[in-house]
Amino acid sequence: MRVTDKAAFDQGVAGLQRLQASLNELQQQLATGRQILRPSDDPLGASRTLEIQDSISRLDQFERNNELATNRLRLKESSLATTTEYLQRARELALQAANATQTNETRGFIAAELRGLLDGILAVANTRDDGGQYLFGGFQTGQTPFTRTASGFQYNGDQGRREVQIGQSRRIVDAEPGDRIFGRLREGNGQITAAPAAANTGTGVITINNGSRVASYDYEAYTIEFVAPDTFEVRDDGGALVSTGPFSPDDNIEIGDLAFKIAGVPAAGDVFDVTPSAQTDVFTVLDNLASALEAGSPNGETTPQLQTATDAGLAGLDQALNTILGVRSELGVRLSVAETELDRSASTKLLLQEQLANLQDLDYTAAISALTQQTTALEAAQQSFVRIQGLSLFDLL
Amino acid sequence: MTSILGIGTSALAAFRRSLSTVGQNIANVNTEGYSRQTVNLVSREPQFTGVGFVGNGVEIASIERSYNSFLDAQARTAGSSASRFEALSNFAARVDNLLADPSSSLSTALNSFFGQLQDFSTNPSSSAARSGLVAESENLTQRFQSVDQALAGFGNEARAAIVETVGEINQIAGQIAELNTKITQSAQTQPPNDLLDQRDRLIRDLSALVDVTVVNDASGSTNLFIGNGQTLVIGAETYELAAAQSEFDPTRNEIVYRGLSGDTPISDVLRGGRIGALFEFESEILNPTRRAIGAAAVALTQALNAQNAQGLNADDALGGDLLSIGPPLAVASSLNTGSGSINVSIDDLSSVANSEYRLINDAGSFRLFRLDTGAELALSGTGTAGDPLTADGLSIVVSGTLDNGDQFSIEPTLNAVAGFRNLTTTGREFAAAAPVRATASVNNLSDATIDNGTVVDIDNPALLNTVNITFTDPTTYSVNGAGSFTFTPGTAITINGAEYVISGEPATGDVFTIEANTNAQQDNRNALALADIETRGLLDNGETNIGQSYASLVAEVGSVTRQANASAEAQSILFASATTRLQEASGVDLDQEAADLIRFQQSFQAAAQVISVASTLFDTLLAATRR
Repeated sequence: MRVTDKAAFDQGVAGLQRLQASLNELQQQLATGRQILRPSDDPLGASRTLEIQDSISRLDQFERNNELATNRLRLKESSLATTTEYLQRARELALQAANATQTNETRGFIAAELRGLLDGILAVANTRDDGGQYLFGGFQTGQTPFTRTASGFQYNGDQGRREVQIGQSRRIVDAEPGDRIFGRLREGNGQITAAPAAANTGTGVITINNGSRVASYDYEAYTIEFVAPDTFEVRDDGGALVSTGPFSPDDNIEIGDLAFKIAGVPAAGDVFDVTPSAQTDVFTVLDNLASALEAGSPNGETTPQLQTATDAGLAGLDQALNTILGVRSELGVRLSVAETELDRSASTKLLLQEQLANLQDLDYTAAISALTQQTTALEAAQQSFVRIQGLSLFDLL
Repeated sequence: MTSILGIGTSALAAFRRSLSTVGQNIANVNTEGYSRQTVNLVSREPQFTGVGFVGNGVEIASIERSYNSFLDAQARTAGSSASRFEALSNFAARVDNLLADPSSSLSTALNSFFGQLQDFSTNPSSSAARSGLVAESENLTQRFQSVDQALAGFGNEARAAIVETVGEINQIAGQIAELNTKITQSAQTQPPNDLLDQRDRLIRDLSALVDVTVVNDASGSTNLFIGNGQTLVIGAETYELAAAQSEFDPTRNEIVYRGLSGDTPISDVLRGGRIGALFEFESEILNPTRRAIGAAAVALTQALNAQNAQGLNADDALGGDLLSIGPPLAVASSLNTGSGSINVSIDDLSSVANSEYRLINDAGSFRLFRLDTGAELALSGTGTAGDPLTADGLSIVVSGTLDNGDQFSIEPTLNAVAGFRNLTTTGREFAAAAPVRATASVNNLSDATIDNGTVVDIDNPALLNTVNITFTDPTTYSVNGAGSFTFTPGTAITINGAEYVISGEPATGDVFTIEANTNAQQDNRNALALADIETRGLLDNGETNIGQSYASLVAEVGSVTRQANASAEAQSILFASATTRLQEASGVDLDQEAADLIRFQQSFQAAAQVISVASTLFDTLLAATRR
C-alpha cells in the first residue's frame, strides 16, 4: 500500500481534530455537570427532562397554593374558634337569663354583656386578611360583609366559594360565604315559630310539640286566639276559621299535622301567633335576646313573652353553634386534605427529581476517567504524528 | 560510435524528462487534485544489421498520470454525501443549540406564565398578581418572538447560502466548460494530464455543492447534468442556475434553471451536496419547527382569549382578547391569471397538520393538497363566506374571480409568531370572575338554594341582566314577573344564556335573583379555567398540551440533529477512506520521489558516462588516424 504524504497528513490532522472535539465535549459536560448539553445528545432524554421540569415546577406552584390556602384556612379556623367561645358564653348568659330569679336590673347586666359579645362576633365576621380582604364575604371581599342597618343586620357578600388548585386534579375551598357561617339560621324550630302576642295578659306559654319537620306544612301563618280561657279558635292568614276547640293544658292544639302545647293559664283575648320560620342570623338572635332582656317586664317577673324570647335566643344560639361547629369540622377536613396533598406532592417531587438527576446529571466518575483516557490518547496521537511526519528519505540524501 | 552517442543522448534526454517529472511531482505534493505523473520509457526501434537488431537507445512513450476513474467517482460520491450531511448537521446544530439554551427556552417562559396565572387564581384581587400577568404575557410573547426570529434568521442564512452556492455552481460550471475547450483542443495523442486533474478536481468540488451526473464523451469533454437531467455543462456550453423570486413568497428566493426553454424553477429537484442539505434543512427541520412553535402560539392565543371572554375582568366587563396572533399565510401564485384571493382561518387547530397546503382551482372546483404527504384532502363547502371550504381544521373563503389552474399556498401557522403580541396594558383586563351570580332571597320561606350558574352562551346580550325568578307556587315560577314555567327539581333553568340549578323545595313566594357578578373581587372561577389551559390538550387532536408539544418538538429537533450528526460523521469517515484510496493511487509519496530522484540521477550520470566513453573512443580513434 502506498502511503502518500497528503493522505498521511490529512488523516493525522483529522484524527487529532476528532480527539480534540470529543475532549471539548467532555470538558463542557464536566463544567456544567450535565450529561445532556443539547437535545441532540439525547433527544428523548431532553424532552423527558423538559416534561419532568414542567411537572416539578407545577408541583412547586401547587405547594405554594397549598400553603396559601392552608394559611387562610387556619386564619378562618382561629376566627371561628373565637366565635365559638363567644357563642358559648352567650349561651351561658341566655341560660342564666331564663332563670326565674332574675330581676330587670340583672337582666340589664346580662343584656349588656350580650351586646359586648355581639360586637365581638360582628368584628370577627368582618375580619380582614393581611391583604385587606374580608374573610367572610364570599367573592365580595371588598366590602364589609355584615353591617347593622336600621332594620337589623345585613349580609353584603355573595354565595361565592373560592377554590384553590392544590394538586393536578385537586382543588380545595379556602373561602366561603359568611352568611353560611353567621347567617342563614331559621327562627323557631326551623320550620315554624310560635309566640304569645305582646298584649297577652295570661301566663300561657306556647311550645311546638310536633317534633321534627312536618312535610305537609305549606308555610301558612295561623293565629290561636282564646275567645274564653278554655276555648280557642284557630284562624288562618286571611282570618278564616280553621278549627275551634276546648283548651286543656294537657292536650295538643293541632293545626293539620302541626301540634302545639300551651302551658300556664291563658286569659280570654290572648293570642298566640304561629308563623313560618323567617331567616335570621346570629347577630339578630343576640340583638333580639338583649333587647327582650333590656325591656324586661313591668314588674320584673318572668313573663311568657320574656320566657319565649330567652327560649328563642337559646334555640338560635344552639343553631349558630351547630352551624359553626359544622363549618369548623369542614375546615379541619380541608386542612387535613391540604396536608395530605402536600405530603403526596413532596414525595412525587422527590421521585421526579431523582428521575431528573438520572437523566441529566453527569456521572462524574465515568466522565473523569473518560477524560483521562482521551487526554492520553490525544497526547499519544500528537507525539506519533510529529514522529511520523518527521520521517523522510530526503533527510538522508 | 555515432550510435553510442545517439543512445547516450537519448538516455540523457529521457532521464532529464524523468527527473523533471519527479520534480513536478515533488512540486505538486500539496496541490489539491494533482495526480502523480510518471514517464513511460520505451526502447527505440532497433536497427537491423547483418548480425541482428542493434538497439537504438530510449525514448519517451508518454507521460501518464496515476488515475483510477472508479476511485475518483467513489471519492466524488462520498464527498457529495459528506458535504451534504456536514452542511445539514451544521444548520441543524443551530436549531438544536437554540432550543437547548435555557435563556431562549419556551418551556421556562410557559412555566412562569402559567405559574403567574396560578398565583392570580389564588388571589385575583391582588394588583401585584395582575400586573405580574401583564409582565409575564409580555415576556412570553417576546420569548416566542425571539425564538421564531432566530429560526427565521437561520432560514435567511440558509437561503443566502443557497444563492451563494448557486453562484459557486455557475462559476465551477464555467471553469469546467473552459477546461473542456482546452482539453478537446489539445487532445492530440498525449493526454493533457494537468488539465484533466484540474477538471476532475472541479467536478469533485461541484459535486460537494450539488449532485451531478458525469458523462464523458469521445471528444474528451465531460458533460454534467443536474436535477432531473437538466444540462449544466455540455462541451464548452454552460446553462446557468439563478436565484429568482419564489412563486409563492416574494420575500424568498427560488432557484431557476436558465435552459433553452427559458427559466424553470428547479429548487424541488436539486438534490445532494450542500444545496440539497440547505433545502432539506429548510423543509425538514426549520419549517416544521417554526410551524410547531407557531401552532403552540396559536393554541395559546385561541384558548386564552376564548377563556378570558368567558369571565368578568376587574372592571366588571366581559374580558377582551389578551393576545394577538398572526393569521394563516395564504399567498397567490405569481403565475395566477385570475384576480381572486383567499382568506384562511383556523377553526380547529388540533386537526391542522404541520405542513404547507396548496389550493388549486381545477376547472371551477377546488382541490386541496397537503404538501408533506402529497395527499389530496376532501373539501366540503363552496368557498363563500357563509359556506367556506373546510378541511383539516382550516376554513377557506374565496373572493374575486379565479381562472382555471390558479394556485394558492397556505401556511397555517408558519408565520403566526410574527403577530404574537401581548394586548394587555393593565392586569385589570384579565377576567378572573364568572360573569353571573345567583342568590336566594333572605326572605325566602324555604331553604331551597340556587347555584352560581353555568354560562352556556357568553354572547347572549342579556346575560348580565338582573332577573328575578319568583315561585308562584312550589312547582311554578315566573321570570321577572312574567310567564309561568313548570319547575322540575334537579333540572337546570336556562335564562339569558346561562343555566341555573335550584335544589331543594322552593316555597310559594320564594325569589331567586340572577345578576351580573359585579365587585366579586375574589371570584377566581374564570382564573382557574385560565390556569387550566396549561394542561388542556389543545394540540394533536386534543392529545397534547402546550408544554408537551414543546417537549416533543425538542425531541424531534434533537433526533433529527442527532441523525444528521451521525450521518455527517459516518460520511466524513467514508469520504476520508475514499480520498485515502484515491490518494493511494494518485497521490505523491515523497519517499518514492526521493528514491526515483536517486534512480534517475544515477541513470543520468551513467548515460553521461556513455557519452564520455563515446567521446574517449572518438579521441582514441582520432589520435590513431593522426599518426
